[in-house]
Amino acid sequence: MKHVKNFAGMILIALLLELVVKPGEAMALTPLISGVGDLSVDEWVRKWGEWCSITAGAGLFGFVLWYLIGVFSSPDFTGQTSKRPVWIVLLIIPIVTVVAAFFLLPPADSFEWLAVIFLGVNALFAYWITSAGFSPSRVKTAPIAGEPVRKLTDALPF
Amino acid sequence: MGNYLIGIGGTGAKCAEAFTHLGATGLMGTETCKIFFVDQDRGNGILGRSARTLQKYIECRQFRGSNGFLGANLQPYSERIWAPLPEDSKRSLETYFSYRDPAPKYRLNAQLLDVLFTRKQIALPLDEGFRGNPAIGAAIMGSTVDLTSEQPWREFYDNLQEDAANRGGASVVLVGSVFGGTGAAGIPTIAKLIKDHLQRQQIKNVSLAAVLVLPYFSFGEVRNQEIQANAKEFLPASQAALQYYHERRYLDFVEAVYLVGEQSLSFVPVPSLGGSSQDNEAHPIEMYTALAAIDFFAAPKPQRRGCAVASREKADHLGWADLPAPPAHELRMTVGNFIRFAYAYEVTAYPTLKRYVQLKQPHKIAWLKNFFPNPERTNFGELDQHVQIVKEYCDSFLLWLASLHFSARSANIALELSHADRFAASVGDPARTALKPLPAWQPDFEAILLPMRQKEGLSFNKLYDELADAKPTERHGSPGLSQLVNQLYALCGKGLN
Repeated sequence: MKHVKNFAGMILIALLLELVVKPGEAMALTPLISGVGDLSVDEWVRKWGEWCSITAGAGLFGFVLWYLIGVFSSPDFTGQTSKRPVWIVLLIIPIVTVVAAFFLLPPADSFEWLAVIFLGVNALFAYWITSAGFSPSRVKTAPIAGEPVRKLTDALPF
Repeated sequence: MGNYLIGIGGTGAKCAEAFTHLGATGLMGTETCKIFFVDQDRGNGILGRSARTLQKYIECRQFRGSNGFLGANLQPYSERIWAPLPEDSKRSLETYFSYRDPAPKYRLNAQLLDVLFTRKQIALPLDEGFRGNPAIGAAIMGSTVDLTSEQPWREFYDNLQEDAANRGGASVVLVGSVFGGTGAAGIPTIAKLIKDHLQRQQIKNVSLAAVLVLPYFSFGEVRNQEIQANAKEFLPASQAALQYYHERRYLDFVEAVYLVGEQSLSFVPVPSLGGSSQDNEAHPIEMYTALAAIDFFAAPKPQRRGCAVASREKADHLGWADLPAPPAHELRMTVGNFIRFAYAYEVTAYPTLKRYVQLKQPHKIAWLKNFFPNPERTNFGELDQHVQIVKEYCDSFLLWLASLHFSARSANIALELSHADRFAASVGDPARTALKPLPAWQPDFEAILLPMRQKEGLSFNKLYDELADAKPTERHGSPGLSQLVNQLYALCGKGLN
């Protein structure tokens, strides 16, 4: 039941990013982006949207890996061997994907930096909020600054 | 109903120790029982251990919840030990009965002593008990026991009177051996004196039971001591005692008699005359006597006279199913739950809590924050003491449990209650039971109870997860350690069958 709740939470975050955050950011970027070569701005924003899904997906993939590690690792009763370093190492997955997106996204003359920031924020946010809110019990305190989110999800009635 | 347990002699004290531990597991519910000991040998190691166990339990009980765990309300009397002879005198039959006094009024005493005892028995110092001589014990008890003026008897009688008047009556269990000195002499004498007093005072609704322990251990000789308990004489001594009780109708003073014995005697490696060196390890027989007391307290007035017999299926094997369970309890579940709790506390909660006290913050320990959400408001000095109190009682319980196993082993009986070798070992020469240092993570938690059953209860990993997800409430005790131990106890019982 707990696993169902946690994965339902992850899917909810994915839908939120895909259906609310991404369109909102695209709307914000469209009037700001210019100098995109042969592409139209709409086409550039569409390509950005694809990378946005990939980078956020990488964040969620990082969470899935983190989840599996949490479920199958031995618990640390005394807190002497924290899993936080593992959680930090897994941040590499969304970061590498965002770096790849930065190099592979067609260049734009203005506000490309904002588009990349959106990609980075979405990817890291996807990883952070899912792991903060829906980590397996034995590693749920490892994500940095996750306590407020965890308190919210712990308070859920199911 | 008021309940009272009087442990008489060394065996009586050991039985009181077992009674304390079984009360802690919840077998007695939340019943109250007052306890005191009768022993001439106040410095007896067993007596000290039993009194310490009771004290540790009482201290630990402050963390009880509402689920029967640490439920039994066991209370010692302010005067915990009553000795027939005053503490400060190294008395003997000789001095007590003024054997050497030429005054004519003492001559009859002296002549009677000459007839009944040897010269060495008459001169024997009694500061270490009656050394397995019920005749000496009976001579002293019969003439000294004044159950109306001395403590704790005075308080005991006041309690009985109040129980009879306001609480629907009282149940009193006298427990001790019939093969030694103090128990064999004390049980019938004290039962008779109590009954006489009750009749004189017209106090009704007080039921008495005698739990008589037959020989269950043996030992070698103490060198250079002519008068000492002799294990070879235990059986004929028991036979003689029982014959005597029967002929003198001493057992008519009690409503129920529980006779507990063991055909395979365990060997006590260090023989002792008495005093602090007499510190025999616990034995499964004592668990039977505790179950007998719990049984009597649950139903002090049997509806009909009869004789029930409990025995085990195989001579060399003793398991949960062989033990007579008190009404409405499944022993393996109730006691097993506590065994798992004590073990889990030792290897999980205790080291973590010590670290918490040291660091003064829950760090990144997922489950700790559920029980100690406000480290800034925690009194760490007090918490440290409380954590230690629970640990000491768990130590005492596990040590007792392991001793049962190792004592049984010395009598070639396989006691199959728990996997005692996982947490204790028999060490040293002569061998004593000691707890092993336990690693903080035990993958074999599920296998601590015997017989091992597949998928019974939680693995340690799941236990951690459940603690980390716990949402303790007031129902689980007062916030902090109390909620933690109650939650841990509840989780340790999950899935036991």
